[in-house]
Amino acid sequence: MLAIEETTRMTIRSSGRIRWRRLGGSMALGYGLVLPALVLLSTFTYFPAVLVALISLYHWNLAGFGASQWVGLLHYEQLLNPISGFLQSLTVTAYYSGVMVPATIGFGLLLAWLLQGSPRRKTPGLAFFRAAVFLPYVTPTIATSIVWVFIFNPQFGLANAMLTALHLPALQWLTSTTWAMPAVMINNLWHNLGFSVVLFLAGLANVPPETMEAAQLDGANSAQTFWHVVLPLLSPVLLFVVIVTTIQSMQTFGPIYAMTGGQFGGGGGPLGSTTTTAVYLYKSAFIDFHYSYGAAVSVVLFLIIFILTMIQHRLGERFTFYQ
Amino acid sequence: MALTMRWVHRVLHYLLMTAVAVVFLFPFYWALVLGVDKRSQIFTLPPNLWPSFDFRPFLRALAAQPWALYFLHSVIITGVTIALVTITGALAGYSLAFVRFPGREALFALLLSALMVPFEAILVPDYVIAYHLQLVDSLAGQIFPFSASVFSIFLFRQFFKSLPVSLWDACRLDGGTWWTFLWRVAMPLAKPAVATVVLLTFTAQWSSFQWPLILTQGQRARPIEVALSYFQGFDGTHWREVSSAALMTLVPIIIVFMITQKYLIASVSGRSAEY
Repeated sequence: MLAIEETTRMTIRSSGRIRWRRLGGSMALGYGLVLPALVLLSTFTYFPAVLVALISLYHWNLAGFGASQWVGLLHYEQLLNPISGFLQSLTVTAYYSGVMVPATIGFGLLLAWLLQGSPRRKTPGLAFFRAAVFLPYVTPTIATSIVWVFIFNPQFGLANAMLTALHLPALQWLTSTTWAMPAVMINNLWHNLGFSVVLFLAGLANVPPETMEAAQLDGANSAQTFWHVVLPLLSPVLLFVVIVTTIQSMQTFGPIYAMTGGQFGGGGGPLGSTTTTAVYLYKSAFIDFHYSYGAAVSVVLFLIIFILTMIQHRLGERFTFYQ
Repeated sequence: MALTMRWVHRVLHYLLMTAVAVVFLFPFYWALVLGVDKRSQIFTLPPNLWPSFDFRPFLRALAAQPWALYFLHSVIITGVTIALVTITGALAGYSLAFVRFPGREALFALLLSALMVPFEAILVPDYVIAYHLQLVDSLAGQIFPFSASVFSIFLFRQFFKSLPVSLWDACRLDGGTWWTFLWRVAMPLAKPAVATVVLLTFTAQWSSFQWPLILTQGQRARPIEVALSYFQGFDGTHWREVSSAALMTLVPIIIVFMITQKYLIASVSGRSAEY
């Protein structure tokens, strides 16, 4: 084994040297080809990542640094003041993400299990059912959120029609501080679930049928097989979905704006009940035109996402089982 | 007996899958019912699930806004972004896979680090930069920030790395340069990577909302999703017109989805495998 690896490495090294010489191996070519991408990423990603921290320390004027006034950590002090509503936005975000991530995992696994088909026998029409679940994910959120606004309309919406049919009390939905957020969650779960289902299906397809049959031969029922055999094999996908869903949920904007934006001045919901940190950021910077305050919010949001992702990676490494 | 059980199981499976499909497809159907049903009351019990067609609200919605212009904006923004993401990705991917130069791995690591920056966190500085580059309220301002994608670079690099070196040798023997090799040999072979980049960029750009909402002010560069949002805010009480407009923006993407769904689903599930 070692010998083969070493030979391969030598081949790669020597062929690399040949390639280097023959291609001219020039710095100019190497960097030149990366340059277009590098210029664009520097302008719109790297430089902004530094600039956002600087802007947050000024009272920013669009004309530039010369016209802006240095205020130090003033905006961060304002963030901590409960009157600013920032702390409330963190609570709302925690509520939103805290429901969305487990719900996406739970329903995603359930649907993937339902739609996985059998390796031994064809399931006609399976592709159609999978496509149906995936379709919402690729449709623009504003158009679909508009439909959900009508479904949740308190006077003539379908949601209340169903509740009434079940002899349950009708709800105020998007104008209620309690029910606006669940309505947004239902819309977004419907919209994004297909993404996780597709990933879980890909993961399930990699589980060798022999492994599951072996477990069943050993007397495991299907719940035990799922819990002790399939889930550990799925854990890398699971970790990926948890991380992506967390990052997505902390940046959700379109559906919240479309469902609970307009009548509340671009913000989220009655009494800020759907104002997540992402929506709060938008309101501060682009409704109130307080760019530097918005920049301070951005820095905190960036740090939260970064730290959460790191923690998930660390925990994930401990619980993830790689084949 | 065992056979009957298996049939019961299969029928139950199909019933469940049908129920799921109905739930996921219903909102699209409901947009149609709301848009073209002539009855003025939608809240009836049981709800009217079959519309009695009346296309006047649809025509009113069509006439209310220059939708064709917004649609054209979206097509240009999406089309040019797709072209640029593919070109910048293929060039950089080629360099990182084939060309040997000092600092290559460090450069690759630098590029990957861009994945750590969530777009939401750089909205404000990006707006400031767009303002100074005079990109506010322009199509270019909606294209350039998304014209280089680390994912695209990464995908092309992986794909090119999997090509055998003998291909390059053969090309060189025929007197080919790096450009002939990239254009005539590597790119045609990289069709799966191109398809993935094109489809994922398409869905991201066509649905893009927050950045164009911030960047555009009037009709000059407004894409269709932002126009739809303004139409909703302006005319939210006329649900038939608003639903018609929503339906109008949904139909093209549903058609694209029906044609490409096989590749699209493969692209998305492949994306996770790259991590």
